[in-house]
Amino acid sequence: MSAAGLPDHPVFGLGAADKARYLLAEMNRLTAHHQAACPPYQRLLAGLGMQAQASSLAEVPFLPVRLFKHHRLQSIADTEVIKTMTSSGTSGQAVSQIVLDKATSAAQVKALSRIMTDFIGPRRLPMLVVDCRATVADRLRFSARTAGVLGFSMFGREITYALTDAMEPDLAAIDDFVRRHGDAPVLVFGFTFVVWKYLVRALEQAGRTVSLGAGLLVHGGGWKQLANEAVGADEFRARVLAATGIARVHNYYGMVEQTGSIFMECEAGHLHAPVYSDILVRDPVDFSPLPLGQAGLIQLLSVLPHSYPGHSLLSEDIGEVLGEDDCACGRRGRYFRVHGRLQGAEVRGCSDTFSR
Amino acid sequence: MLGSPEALERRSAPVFDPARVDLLAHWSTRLLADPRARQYPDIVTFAFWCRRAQQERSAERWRDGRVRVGLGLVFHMTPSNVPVNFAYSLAFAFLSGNASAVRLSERRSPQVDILVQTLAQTLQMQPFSALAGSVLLMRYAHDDRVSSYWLHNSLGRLIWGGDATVAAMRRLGAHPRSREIAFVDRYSLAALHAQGVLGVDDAALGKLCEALYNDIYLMDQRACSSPQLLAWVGPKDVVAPAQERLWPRFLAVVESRQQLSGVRAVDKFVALCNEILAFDNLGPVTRHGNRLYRLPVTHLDANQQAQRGADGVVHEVVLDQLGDLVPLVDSRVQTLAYFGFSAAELQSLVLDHGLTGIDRMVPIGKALDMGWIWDGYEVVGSLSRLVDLV
Repeated sequence: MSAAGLPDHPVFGLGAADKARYLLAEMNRLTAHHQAACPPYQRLLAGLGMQAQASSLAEVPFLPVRLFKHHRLQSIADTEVIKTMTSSGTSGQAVSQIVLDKATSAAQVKALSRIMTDFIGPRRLPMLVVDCRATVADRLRFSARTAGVLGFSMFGREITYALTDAMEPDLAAIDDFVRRHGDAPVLVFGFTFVVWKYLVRALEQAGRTVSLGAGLLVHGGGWKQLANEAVGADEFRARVLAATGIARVHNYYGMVEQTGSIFMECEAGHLHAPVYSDILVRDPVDFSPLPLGQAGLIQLLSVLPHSYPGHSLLSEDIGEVLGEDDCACGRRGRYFRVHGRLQGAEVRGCSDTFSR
Repeated sequence: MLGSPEALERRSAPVFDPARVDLLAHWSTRLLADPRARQYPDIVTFAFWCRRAQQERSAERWRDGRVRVGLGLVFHMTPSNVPVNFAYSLAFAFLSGNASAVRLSERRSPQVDILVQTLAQTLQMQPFSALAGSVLLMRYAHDDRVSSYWLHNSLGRLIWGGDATVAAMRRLGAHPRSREIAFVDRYSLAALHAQGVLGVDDAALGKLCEALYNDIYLMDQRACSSPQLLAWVGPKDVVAPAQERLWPRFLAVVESRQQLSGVRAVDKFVALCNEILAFDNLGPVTRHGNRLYRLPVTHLDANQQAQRGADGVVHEVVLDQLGDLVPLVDSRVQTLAYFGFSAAELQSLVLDHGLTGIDRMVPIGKALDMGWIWDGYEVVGSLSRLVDLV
């Protein structure tokens, strides 16, 4: 992490001009740092013909996020590595390797904490995790879900797991949680598809509801499985409300390649860039920067990655910037929408893949 | 899908038997008249290749009065990613005088449907129905027992699909008399004579660019004949202006013809990054959006054949003379697409250096053309036998 540490600016308080200035300086600093500290990154910059010092955010060099599945990119000595995060890929795929040192890990925690405080307040809330205990307890099951649950658990107390290890609603535990905390605000956290399938749908099928009216649901991890069932954000929200009474629902967008500086959904339904990060949108075919309102590939910028060259990444998600500084929720910064993944395509050629 | 194992006649016929030429010609006419088929350039190309005039031309060299007949039954393992190849494979064996049991890939495609339908219609008509017993088209999930049955009960086998598929089929064994035509992984390249590129007029330059586009971008540069390396031959002070003349013109063709999706662009970009990290002999890329990447090859590497791209990645090297390609050429090298070289120069490249590779040298624009001489095989010769009548 830079000597300066995280900026003192309020998490959603920096206006566009100041943000751009701050972020560009940080991006250039990080590019230079990684160029000096990570030989493969230096090779990539040279090979791609990208300039280390950019004069605008659009010119900041970027790596494709998938590269972390193929290479372990590291800007610190092995002795400084305290943790290597991995993504959970679909079976058969390589997983990303993200190398962390103490400073980067601490910065991620701090950033996430400040972001969450803006949404749930400074105090730890009683927390209901919509997952099973085995997700965190079973070492062999470490995955993005584990990382998510552990990461967000810092904001909770009296953590209760809403699902049994068989992934069924643990109604006794949930009812007990509700009884203990009454009408006080509680934090409910889970991966989107887990909340959908194993809580909402399970409750619906059992003809039951629970009363978590004072709760705030934070969920992330992607909408793909729900898209397969043709369930969008609005329907999800409505069915969560009906099944659990939770009216405050906040999706978040992020990825293992850039944790900490996540993008939380505000009360107006928009994903927000905190002061530590930002997004650009690029044309999927030629990667040229796109203006507001035009959908394209999301590029994520973050000031946090010190131990690995992940400060500027081109994702494989499609989205659009909706505006900056003027969201109805009152937060400043860029806000955007994610539409989903880039669609797959067929491969042609003479060579068969024999293992169908 | 078409025919049945019971109806399959394991008989030989003379090569380029007129009845069989007639059938293919009819199939060709049917395809060219079909409005659906016309939407697919690969089907049109196949139909064109099958037409009577073309077949008669190919037949000429085999009409020498000798008794040349097919082997009998030939088994085909056709690739999943190139829909039209099963039709070429079938035609090769058919005109060489064989019956065919063809395994089509499980991957569905409109081209396969059109080809199978039109063939079925043709086989239902007189007099072509007499030949129905020489065609069996099958589709089955990869099953070693089934494949093994066909391999041991056929006298010829055409195996498409690269090293992995060929190895898998070889493990199953074959009839002792069975002849194999196996299409394994290959590497192809292009050579441009720099002075030649400078010397042509504008119209010819335009044609060259369209032709080069066809070679590189049709089949998304994933075919075994798609050029991976582009070698400029000439002194540096001639090559540089030749590059300046060609590339902008070429790029204009790419931009007007290429359909590039976002996912392919990202795949291309990721592959580029992986290449930059893997190889030491590459200079900084020149990216034209994501449509064309030109990667300068500073010197030909022992690993050169591992440097491949798709959807328009040109590994560009500058050589003093054509012979500088020799260290690169081994049995994996299939096609050399050329511009500006004489037949003599090209022949001497192979003959003077005792090359074990380069199976075909074709003008730029023809790299992907399928023909009777393919992958170093003279197909008719491989799928037929000469009966020695003394």
